[in-house]
Amino acid sequence: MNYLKIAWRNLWRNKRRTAITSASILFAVFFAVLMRSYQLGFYDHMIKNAIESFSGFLQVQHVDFQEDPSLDNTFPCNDSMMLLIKKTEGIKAVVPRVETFALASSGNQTKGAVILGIDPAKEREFSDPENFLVRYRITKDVLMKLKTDTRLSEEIKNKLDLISNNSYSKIGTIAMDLDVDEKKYSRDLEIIASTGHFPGRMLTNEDDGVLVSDKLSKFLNIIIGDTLILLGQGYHGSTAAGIYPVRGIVKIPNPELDNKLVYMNLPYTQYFADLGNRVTNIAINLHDNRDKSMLEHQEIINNKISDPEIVVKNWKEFNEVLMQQIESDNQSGKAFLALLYFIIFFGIFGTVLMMIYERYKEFGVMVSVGMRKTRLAIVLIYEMLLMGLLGVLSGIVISLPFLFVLHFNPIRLTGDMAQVMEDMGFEAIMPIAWLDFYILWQGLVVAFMVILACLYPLRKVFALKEVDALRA
Amino acid sequence: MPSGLKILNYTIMILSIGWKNVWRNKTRSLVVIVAVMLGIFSGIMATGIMQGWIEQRTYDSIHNEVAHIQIHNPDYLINEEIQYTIPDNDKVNKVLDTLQGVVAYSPRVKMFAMAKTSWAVSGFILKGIDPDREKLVSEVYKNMIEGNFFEDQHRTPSIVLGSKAADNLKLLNYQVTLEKLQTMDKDIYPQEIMMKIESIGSKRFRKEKDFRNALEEVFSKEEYKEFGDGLVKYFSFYRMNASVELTFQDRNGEIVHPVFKVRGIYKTNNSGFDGMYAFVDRESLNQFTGLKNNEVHEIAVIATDNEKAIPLTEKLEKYLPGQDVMSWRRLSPEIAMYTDFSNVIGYIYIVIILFALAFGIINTMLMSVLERLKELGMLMAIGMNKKRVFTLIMTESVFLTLTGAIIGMIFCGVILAILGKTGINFGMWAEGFEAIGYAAIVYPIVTWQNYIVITLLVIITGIVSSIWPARKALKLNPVDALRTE
Repeated sequence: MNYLKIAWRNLWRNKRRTAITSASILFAVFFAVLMRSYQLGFYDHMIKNAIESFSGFLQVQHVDFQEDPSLDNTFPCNDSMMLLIKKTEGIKAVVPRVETFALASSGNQTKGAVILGIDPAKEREFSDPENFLVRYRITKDVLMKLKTDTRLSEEIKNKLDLISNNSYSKIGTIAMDLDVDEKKYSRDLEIIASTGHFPGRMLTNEDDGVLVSDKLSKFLNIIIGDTLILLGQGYHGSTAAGIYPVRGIVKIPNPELDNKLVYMNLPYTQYFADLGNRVTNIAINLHDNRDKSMLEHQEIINNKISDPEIVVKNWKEFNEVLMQQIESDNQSGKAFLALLYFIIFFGIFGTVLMMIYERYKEFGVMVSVGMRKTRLAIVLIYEMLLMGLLGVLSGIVISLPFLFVLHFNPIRLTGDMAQVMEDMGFEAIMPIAWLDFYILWQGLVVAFMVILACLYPLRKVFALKEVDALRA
Repeated sequence: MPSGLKILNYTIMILSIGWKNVWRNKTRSLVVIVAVMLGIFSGIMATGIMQGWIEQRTYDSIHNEVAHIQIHNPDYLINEEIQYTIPDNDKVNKVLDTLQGVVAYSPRVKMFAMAKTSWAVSGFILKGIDPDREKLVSEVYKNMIEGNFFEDQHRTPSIVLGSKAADNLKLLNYQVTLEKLQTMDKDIYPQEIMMKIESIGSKRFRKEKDFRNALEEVFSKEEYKEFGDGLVKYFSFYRMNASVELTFQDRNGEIVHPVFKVRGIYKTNNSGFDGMYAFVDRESLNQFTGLKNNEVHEIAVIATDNEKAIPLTEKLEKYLPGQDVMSWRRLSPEIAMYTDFSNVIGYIYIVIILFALAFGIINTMLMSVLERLKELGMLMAIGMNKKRVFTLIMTESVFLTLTGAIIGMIFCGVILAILGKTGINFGMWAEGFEAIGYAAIVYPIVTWQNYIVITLLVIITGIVSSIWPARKALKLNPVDALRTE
């Protein structure tokens, strides 16, 4: 006998019941998939912003650095160590860095700054400061010129105040701030860009200059070619001081960092802080960023270096705050979904109850004419599973177009919400994760619920007394 | 019979028949009732937790961090340069003194400073305040974990640091003192643990790692695992009276290096704030800044409540032209956003839950209608009109949902009354929460408005999900229905 066929036919005997139950599962799956995709997409976004494009998934540090991030807890980094890490399989990029704190001044202004010593060539594969280089600046003079420029369309002129006093790396961002279409107004944007053009270049490898973050440069009132005086503390308490020409201004997306970041060539930073060849960390990005591969690589590199003074840490260890934020959000999201599924479970259970009631007589007839109860039970389980499958599949199918559209065109936030995101240092978009294994989980959960809901009717079937059932 | 009484009679009849019908098939009804109960319970719980957090964050943000209103010199806000003090400070004071709705205000000198101890260097924003007036505006003084908030007189000026800033400056030390040994909780720590900890002696450890090493030496692995973290916390203390050398620019652009002594450590729920702001007495700070007594950078104002602060801001803007007046909504936009959305997000939760519940309710009601076709047909045959049949089914559906919802709400109310006092501890994510200003212990809050709105939503759900089953009943032809088995 073909159980599946019978079960399938039974399902369509009462279309309404099947439709309601499948629809409730469809709703739960659709909602769960969308919500999980948003959550996972957002975590990816955060990790991309904070980890992949800045701190790296793994970092080589001095053992005590995390607890006491001072220059005394640095370690010597030479070419052989870099090579050792670089040659490990699955490594995408490796950069040595020195991170220290100093007072930056120019003229009468002084402000605390974070000095980041980088290897410009290697850093291109990592945080790539060149991407953030300010190329256009809408100063008061530029604004005046633009307002009197006859070539500019009136519509754009009216909006110019929106970008007053801002700095930009890309024309696209100007268009976004002006809230106009980039292609449609390309000529106007071109004029704004050429009028507001701002010089500046990336550090070269032998460069003795610095890149200064946008807000800091505005505070210190410096432009390209000015000099920056740095004063701080070096290795083992020595005094660190130096004068550096400014080569470029960078606009860092994170406003807090934008207030205080200075990029410098690594050897000059080491000289400034009297560090010799010591670095504060070596940041590593991997081709495969998933947890399992990350932990494996952490272990491998740790073994390769095998120095009791030096450890390799993963981002969850050195950025515990981000990890906990993601973790707590993740758990609350899962709890909400569990609740939703729980409610859906009651719906399924209700259907099962109804079905048993309606078909009690039918079961009685079937058993009376010789159908074994186990077979009846198997048909019932098939029915329920088919119904679940129908709901899960249609839920996934319906969510696919949403996922597809939102993944490639993430919603861009505006207003307060966008401001909050940007203040945290993230681009203000709501990205959505692409299909992944978590969708399979939805199916498994539903299957489990269905089997659980089947327990009651199965008991009923096995306890069925033909005589009573026929009379029902 | 007067028609009013008639309607009342019918209403009572329908209500009582409806209620009895709900309990005709107990198992089936209970499935829905339990589902609704759990759904409402968890929905309110989630809303309460969220609102508790937002309330706490809003309170902290206003009463520890930004106050209701801040007044600045507009030029100061561009670069926070020391010379841009509030112009015509005396007039501002006069306005604030006389204006109704101003509860308290505190003048502040504010600037960035580098700080250096013998062990570490760090940077923070220094707030020069008048302690007595600051206490009326900010509650930082209530959050002291060591020392006090400018209560004693000293020859060297005092500084009050946040716990995070003190950590950064390596002021957190570890020592097994006699006093702490004696006050150890004997219920938590067994005798032998105390003996072992005593054997460490009164050596002072500057690093957590060293203290942990010492603990590991005297304890077995299991003991260390069980008690280690607790002991590290218990025996930690902040070094009071340590010297902190500050470096900043004075009014003339000269760099000065005054020395202050740590006399207090505070800890709020926001570790970012704790790392960012340090307090000193304005008078002692001005010895080094060269600012006069009436030169201040910021005036923080407290209004009667959060809402009244907004019109007060507008008033102040009018009375104080040339000054920048900002309300808390502009000072911390994320708080403004969360307070605006907190209700909405909670209701979205509940609507989603109710939507999921609706499937179950529809199913149950359909079943209940279909099995009673004959009975309904009979009722119609003896003269019950369609409208009343419809109302009857709707009443049953609403009863079904409302029963579950009310049980859920009562249950939730009781649990929330307890949790509102004890709080829910999310200690395992404390650092992550505190980094963005949320307490690890949350006290859920649910207002009576929440309950009313939720009850309304539940009733709507009951009505909406009865439409389909009720229509089924309406399509009945009494003659056919009587013939069905």
